[in-house]
Amino acid sequence: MNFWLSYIIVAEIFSIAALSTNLLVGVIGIFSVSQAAIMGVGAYTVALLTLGHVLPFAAALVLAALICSVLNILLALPSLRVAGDYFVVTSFGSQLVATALFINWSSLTGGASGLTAIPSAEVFGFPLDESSQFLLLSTILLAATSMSYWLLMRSPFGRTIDAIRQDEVSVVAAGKDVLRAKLSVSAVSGAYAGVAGGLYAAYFSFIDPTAFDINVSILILTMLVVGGARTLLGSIMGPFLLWALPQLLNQIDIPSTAVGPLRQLIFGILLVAFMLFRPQGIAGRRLG
Amino acid sequence: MIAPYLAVDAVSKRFGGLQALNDCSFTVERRKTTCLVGPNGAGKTTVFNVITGFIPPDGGTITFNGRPLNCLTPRNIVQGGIARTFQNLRLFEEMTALDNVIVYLSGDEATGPLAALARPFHVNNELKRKRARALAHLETVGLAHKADEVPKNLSYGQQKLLCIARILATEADVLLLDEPTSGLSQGALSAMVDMIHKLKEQGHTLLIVEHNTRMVQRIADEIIFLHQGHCLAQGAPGIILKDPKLTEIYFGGTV
Amino acid sequence: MLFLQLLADGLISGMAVGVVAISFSLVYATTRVFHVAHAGLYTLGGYIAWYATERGLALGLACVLAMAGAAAVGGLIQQQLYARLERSKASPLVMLIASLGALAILQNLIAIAFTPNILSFSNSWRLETFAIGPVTLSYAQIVLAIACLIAFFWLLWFTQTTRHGRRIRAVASNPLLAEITRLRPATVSIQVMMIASGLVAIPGVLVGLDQAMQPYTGTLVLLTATIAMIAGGIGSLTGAFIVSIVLSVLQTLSLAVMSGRWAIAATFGLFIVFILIKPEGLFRKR
Repeated sequence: MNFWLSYIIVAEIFSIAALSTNLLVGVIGIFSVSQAAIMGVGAYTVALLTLGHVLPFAAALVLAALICSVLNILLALPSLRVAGDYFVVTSFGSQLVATALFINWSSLTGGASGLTAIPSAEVFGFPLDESSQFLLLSTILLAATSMSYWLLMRSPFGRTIDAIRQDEVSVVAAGKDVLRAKLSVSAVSGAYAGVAGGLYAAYFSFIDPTAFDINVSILILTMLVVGGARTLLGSIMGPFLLWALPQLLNQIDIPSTAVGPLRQLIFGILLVAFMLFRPQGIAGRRLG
Repeated sequence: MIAPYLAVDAVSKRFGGLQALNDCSFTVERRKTTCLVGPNGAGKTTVFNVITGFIPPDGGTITFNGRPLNCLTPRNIVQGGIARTFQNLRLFEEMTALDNVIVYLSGDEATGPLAALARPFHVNNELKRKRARALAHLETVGLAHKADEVPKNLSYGQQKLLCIARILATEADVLLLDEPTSGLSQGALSAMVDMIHKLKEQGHTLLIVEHNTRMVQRIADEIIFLHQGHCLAQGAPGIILKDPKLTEIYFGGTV
Repeated sequence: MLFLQLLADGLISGMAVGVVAISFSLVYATTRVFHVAHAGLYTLGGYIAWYATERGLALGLACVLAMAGAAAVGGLIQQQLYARLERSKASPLVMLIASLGALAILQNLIAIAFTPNILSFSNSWRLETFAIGPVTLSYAQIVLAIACLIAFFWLLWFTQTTRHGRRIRAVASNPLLAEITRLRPATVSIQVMMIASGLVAIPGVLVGLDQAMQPYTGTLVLLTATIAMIAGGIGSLTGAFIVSIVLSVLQTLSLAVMSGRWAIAATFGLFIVFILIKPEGLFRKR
């Protein structure tokens, strides 16, 4: 029973992260490999605040969302003002730099060993020690995130950002502030990623830099690609399907050094295969 | 003497080895329909791009209502009252005609994710209002019955009318139409001419790039003849179109 | 003196990054794809050579084999992946994601075959050093420097002077026109990918020879290389090469004042500052 609870909880956390990526990659059409880095900032923020008893969990989560929101805006700002491919470099750069920071700023992040004994999530003073209790929290937050995504996309603003992907020049000719729209979306995307990270930290009680490195960004991207972009269903289906992969691999008898690479290899194959044969994923719309 | 409504003054623009605009000067009078004619490559679309802020000129000024437009962004220029269509339409292919118009609607109230998330009911009303406004613009161009169709299900003529609906939605006064009649069949052509007359009646100032000289005679109050990036002549259609030197340049023959 | 040593080290590693940058730039300018899988080809080259030398092959031959192998895989990626996507009118985003997938495939196949652990070449002479005044260089470094300089000048000569090179530049500057005339951009793209992949194998092998091999280090090198390409001005091979050296020198010099682990953060910070100030690059080639 615990296995399934854990599975669903983690899949839900990654669904929130996938929605974050969906906004940037699926809706606006910007390439991103830094989703794990932002999630990591959220995770470390919540971990540090609750470990140091500075803030209760709920407040820490909100603060993490805000910080990640601002961070995403700052990262997007310089390169969105210039042509699109610069953003690719910024995305890679921020992911790699974030991992370097997580590893090397040991006084803050615990270095390569990470942070342990992170307190469990606490709502209204009530600690969620059991997985079944945490499941309630993660499900509510996923529902809230999904709701906000839905509200966003059906609003006039949602149409504008959808149009930006289809023909940015045309949106400029419509008199809309495309830069501000992209930054707003980056902000929301950051907030979602921060929430996912905070939940991750509280659930696992232990985080280290490898939990938020480029491999995890690729995992989240693959979840979006497989599930499908620009739909709620796709952003949830992808994580639920793909989270099975590491579990399955753990059952097979292969040398431990090959597990990680094999997993990443499969993600790579999935990315290439879906781009070639099914860019809309299982339940989404065509990328780009 | 009153300042001209829209004035292009000694504007030049070079792209690598090509001098697209060369000391180009002309004026556009308010509420009049002015047609930009000239052989291919004369710089007509470049003029549009420069006026609407998509390309900065190398030299010269563009003034609108006394204010210089040179340093403004395309967004500011649209909000200031000058909107344009594109030769290649640039419709949003994945959206319905109605949504295409909604994106172009002027007014940014309640846009932004914060509003969408924090005040969902307000946004709902906002959406209803925008739908109604967009539908009205579709009615003006005669496409209300196609509101829920995506562009690929519309005929070419209807797609061009949709472009007109979009720029009407911006509530701009000056409308720059880039070859509105090109590629249209006879029936669609008439519909477009009627549309342009309607725009005139509504009091819009029109600047139209047009190749079809018969069209020009039907709609233009004034003609600007562009050649190799320079304005050779500006005047009434009757005079310009009968000028033998100009028709020589344009056709190598008679009108 | 430490400064001169760091300067020399930075200069040489900069030339390696430079070859990565110019080969990437060649692909980018011609195919318009932001070919992140390039990092995988860099690594592939290194491991092919390592495998060959472990089997007893001389280093020179192993290097040639590595270049050929990388060129073959690069050409395959262009022909089977990018060309297909382009035919189905895929957007740049789709191409990027596909390239990222290819990178993951390459790096992780290598990690599975050779384990993710660090491997070293066993050529005995590679560690021997050579002193020029206050500076000590390993033989491997010297070979690296010479090879990379040759690669740079060769590519410069090839693209500026030869008919083939000019054909490539023509396709790069106007692919649509190339389609209509008889330049056959599809074939040119494959050739370009093969040339670029063969070139990037050179630093892949020789940096591996000088230091060590690891499946995932290519990504960081490519990041520095693309930053150099952008800062040097897209389209300028010389610009990309020079800025690569400058960035590497700065990175190496920074070792004197801070831990090497912050080097990438410093480079990235420079990049952000740079695109805020002068996004069109230092050596514009229009």
